[in-house]
Amino acid sequence: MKRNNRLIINLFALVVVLLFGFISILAVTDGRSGLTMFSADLQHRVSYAFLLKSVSHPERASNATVEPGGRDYEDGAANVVTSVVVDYRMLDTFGEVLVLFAAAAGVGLLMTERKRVVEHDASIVVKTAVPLVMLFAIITGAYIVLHGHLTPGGGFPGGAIIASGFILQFLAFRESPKRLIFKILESLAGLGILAVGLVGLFVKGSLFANFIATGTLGATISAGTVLIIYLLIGIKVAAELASISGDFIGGEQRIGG
Amino acid sequence: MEIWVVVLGVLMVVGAIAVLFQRSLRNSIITFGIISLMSALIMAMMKAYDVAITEASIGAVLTTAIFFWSLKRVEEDGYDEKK
Repeated sequence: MKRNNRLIINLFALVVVLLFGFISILAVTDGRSGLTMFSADLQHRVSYAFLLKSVSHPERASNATVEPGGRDYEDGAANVVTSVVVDYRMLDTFGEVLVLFAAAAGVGLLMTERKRVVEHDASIVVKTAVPLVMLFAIITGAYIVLHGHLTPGGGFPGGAIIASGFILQFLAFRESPKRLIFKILESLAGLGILAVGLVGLFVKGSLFANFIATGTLGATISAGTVLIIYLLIGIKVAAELASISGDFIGGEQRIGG
Repeated sequence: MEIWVVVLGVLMVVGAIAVLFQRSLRNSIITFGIISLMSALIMAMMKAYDVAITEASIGAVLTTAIFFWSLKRVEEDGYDEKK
């Protein structure tokens, strides 16, 4: 009976895979089906207006040219994705940050402190290599956070890379991380993001408006509030993920050596 | 190039089904991480580098680690896979 069930499920999976492959091949090859991949008419998309970086001024969008070295664009981030995520659609990103905060709070609530016996310590190779790798992870993460408005990346992946450095350290040295520092940092960064949004509300009239001059396109310090917000998001995500991993690892009691 | 995206997509679907039919939960978690890596590769091939970096760092590394930790916690509380 059980074997029969498995066979049916496997056959169903096979049919689903074949169907998916058929549709994918159709979508790539047949241009008239309306399911074309890799070719889209940009002129009729909202993203075209975003690419020209002038959404709230439609009269400027038609003949706007954006080039490196230009000054005082509506949003000075060279990375279009960042200018959408952190400037035009910042409220969505703020909701994302809140979701992550809720997840971290839930983990902290459910994962109670627990003493655990560690029988096997990490080997000398791991203990020697991990500080080096952690250093590189933190430097890479900081680079990705700080260049979020210029190159692909930003606060979320950069913060995750920094947190992975801390996680490596927790795993290699089996020490209970100082979680209070992470939680204080996280709260301060979250309040900072809200403060930037409220200042935008009072200065320019809309929540998370870009109220600082955007400067030269492509410079490291440019894009106004985008740089500040991504820095705060990077700190918040790194602290949050490190404290989540600390909650999971819990207090470990060393016995073996 | 385009055909590779399709091949990787089909492989991802096969892997997602394979997650369900693994013998042990550890194998499932590793397969899940491999699916995340493949999706990061697809996103890089489609020039969505922002999403690719996020998927590679969060989906492939952190999710796998958190799944392993929660499995360890559950096993400490007396869960046995073989039952």
